[in-house]
Amino acid sequence: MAAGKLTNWTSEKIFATLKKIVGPENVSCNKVDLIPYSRDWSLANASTIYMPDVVVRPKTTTEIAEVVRLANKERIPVVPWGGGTGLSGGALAVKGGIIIDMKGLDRIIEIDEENLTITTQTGITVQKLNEALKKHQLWWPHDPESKFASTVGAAIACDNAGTFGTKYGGSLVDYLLGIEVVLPTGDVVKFGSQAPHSVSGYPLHWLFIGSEGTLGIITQTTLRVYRLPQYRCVDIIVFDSFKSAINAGLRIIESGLDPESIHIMAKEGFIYYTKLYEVMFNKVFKPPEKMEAAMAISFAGLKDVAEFQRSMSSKIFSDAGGMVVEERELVDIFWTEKHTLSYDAGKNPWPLSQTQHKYTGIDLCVPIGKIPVLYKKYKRLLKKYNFKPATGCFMYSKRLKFAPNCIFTINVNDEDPEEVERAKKFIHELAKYSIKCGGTISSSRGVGIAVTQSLMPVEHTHLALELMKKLKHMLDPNNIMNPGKKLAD
Amino acid sequence: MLIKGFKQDIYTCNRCKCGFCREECPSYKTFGLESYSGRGRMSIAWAVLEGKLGLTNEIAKRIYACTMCGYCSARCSMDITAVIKALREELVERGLVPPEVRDFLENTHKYGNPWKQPREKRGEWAKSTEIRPYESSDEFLYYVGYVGSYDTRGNNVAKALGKVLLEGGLSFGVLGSDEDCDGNEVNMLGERGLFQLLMEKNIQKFKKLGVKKIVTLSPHAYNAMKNEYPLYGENFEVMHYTQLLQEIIRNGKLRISKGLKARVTYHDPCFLGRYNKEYDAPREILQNIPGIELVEMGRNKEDSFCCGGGGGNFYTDFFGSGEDSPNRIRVREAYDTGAEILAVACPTCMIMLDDAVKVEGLEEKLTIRDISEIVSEVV
Repeated sequence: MAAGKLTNWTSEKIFATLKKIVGPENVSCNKVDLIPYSRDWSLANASTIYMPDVVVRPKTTTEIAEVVRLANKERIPVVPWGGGTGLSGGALAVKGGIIIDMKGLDRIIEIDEENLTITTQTGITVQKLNEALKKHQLWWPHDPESKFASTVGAAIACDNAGTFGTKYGGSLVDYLLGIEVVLPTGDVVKFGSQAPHSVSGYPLHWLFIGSEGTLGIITQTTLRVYRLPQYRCVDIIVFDSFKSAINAGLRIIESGLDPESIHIMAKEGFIYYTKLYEVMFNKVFKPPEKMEAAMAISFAGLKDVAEFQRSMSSKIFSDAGGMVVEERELVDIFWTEKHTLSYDAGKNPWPLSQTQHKYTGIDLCVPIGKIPVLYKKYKRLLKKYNFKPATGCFMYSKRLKFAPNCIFTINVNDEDPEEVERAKKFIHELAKYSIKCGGTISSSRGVGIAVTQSLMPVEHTHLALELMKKLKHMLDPNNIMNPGKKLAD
Repeated sequence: MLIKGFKQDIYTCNRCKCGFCREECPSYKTFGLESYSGRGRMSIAWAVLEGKLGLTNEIAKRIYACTMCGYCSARCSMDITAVIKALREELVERGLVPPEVRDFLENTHKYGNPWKQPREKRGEWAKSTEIRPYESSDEFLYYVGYVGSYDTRGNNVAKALGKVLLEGGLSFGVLGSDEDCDGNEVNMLGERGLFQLLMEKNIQKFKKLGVKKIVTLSPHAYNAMKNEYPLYGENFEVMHYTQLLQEIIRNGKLRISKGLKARVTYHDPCFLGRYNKEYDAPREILQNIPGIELVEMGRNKEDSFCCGGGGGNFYTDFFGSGEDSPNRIRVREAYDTGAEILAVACPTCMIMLDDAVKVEGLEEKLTIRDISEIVSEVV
């Protein structure tokens, strides 16, 4: 790669050393190569960019350790970059420095069918990991919508959300058995093991879950995987209120049934799929007048068992005032779009497409009883700040049964700086309310450089934040590892 | 600026950044940095429109290291390939194309092919065959293209198809030394002016000769003649040869008289598959041959992975022959299916994959065969 313009962070000598470490073809400080790393999916003005000084694409842990050691010695910021699909700016080089593109580390080391684990480098995408597992009739049930582009390392570093949390957990805590990390000093440490459970040491591998690249670079991991279910059935049930949808979901779980996924969406989000149904099948789905929420639920396993559970669940839904959607094509469209992406939505003139507006939102989590009031607050704030909902509000039941990962969305004209600022205020106020409800400002997307970063001292006590900062300082004394993120400097 | 016409698409990508176009992009697989992916190139286009980047030779290197395979466009609501083509047109206008592209265009203009092969030798491949020059009474013009006309391996494919068409009792002929470049790659390289010149010349020639129906050996020519030529002239009835073979096998004109016991996998050429949605004809032909067990690679049809030869790269060779070059990746994927034959329906794919088989040391285990060659042995 051509050198391009050298800056304070990257003298000729440093650039030459980086070339020596990763090979000349895997390093560039040419602006043409840096521009694609200057933005992600996060809310920002249409013209805002954060330019790194140099990008490297290593292929091994050793190469990463050498790059980090050099950066630590020279006090150069280091930012790990996975799929670049972040919604909080976590992988942006806000202080310049070196972007380490992790996707060169895409090798699977071992698929252990007997012990149901996979050991892999972390730059592989979630999709590619599952394609490899599928050959062994296995899968990793972590299923973010970004899976075609986002990496396993980013899934750990952000603890992002997936669909199948109802059954399998949905947080990386439920999957992560061990990791290898390059610490900000360049030391390489392995945490955890292949053991399904251990209390012999502090569970430091979990410390890196949701660390957003601020404590080190996760280079390798051992994850718990599962046998692919033989059969799956999906239903969508519409409800007149969020509350009744949530209560129905709780009753399902309390009944002893074992759904693999429960996904509740507001009417606005459901319309996305009904519109697609109209386009593809030329049929119109008429939702009940009073509908506020729709729940998609899936059961999987042996066919008889899954179908039995489905039939049992339909009675519970009926008692809870739910109405099962009979249009199977509509249900299939939802499932395809959600999990395999047919791309049809984007190819049609679409009310929720990003051709006019930027999709943005906030990933909150509150105690389950508080969801209805949080939803009301969202509706009020939409009016107050004059925004239209994008896909409205939706939630996955995550973390062993019913910990809701609630996403509240809006459409923003990112070419209007005033509107972007207004959107930030909207998000800030809603997130603040979440804390008031006993909740959190982020449940899957991370804090990064989001506007909610300023709420960290509201959500966390002074002493708790101080301890986090001390921990960060202990591991990263020169503050080179993704500086400016999560905990503000 | 031409790319201004794509402003909405470029800005949409810039605000979305999903990156779903990236992982199967042959260029990205080879070069590794985001700037070599669909999304990366959209970022570059955005930065150019925003005035954050000026058009330079460095941009040209990233924009031309693309096979125009169309995977990114298939994975997106935006036509990323069209934006890349528009960027190329900008680069051509400013004289910023890499030397390899410049040579391709100059040679094609002068000789009708990028290899500087003399025009008068374009029809030599047919001399020892029963394939004769086109006459106005012929039903089909058999358009061969320069790969079939000049490349030794391409010659074999061109002859094989000629033999099959004769066997099917079709009246057809070739243009021989009068055949000129179809222009598909010239168009894909962003030289719109030269493309229009070639297209107009071809259209006039075809009209003068009374051509009504064209069958092409190459999906590249098929794409240009089917989708671009009608915008500028007559509507010829254009078929790729697999579509014609499918038809004459169905109506009984072509009888498959022998079998072939082999496990076969089929590689979809981008300009037949993604660009023209023809996935069934080649598969149906293969399935009509007794003894063939057709197995699919993981990436097939719309998800097919490019051989690396599209958009002029079989000549410009920006991808080289390293382990991560698209043709080597594709050959390994085909080998993993357990197939003994990797069937293709495009002379460019043929030479790209044939090269890769040798570099991978798989010649004894995997043979690259064009469908026309396979059929010519069983009729």
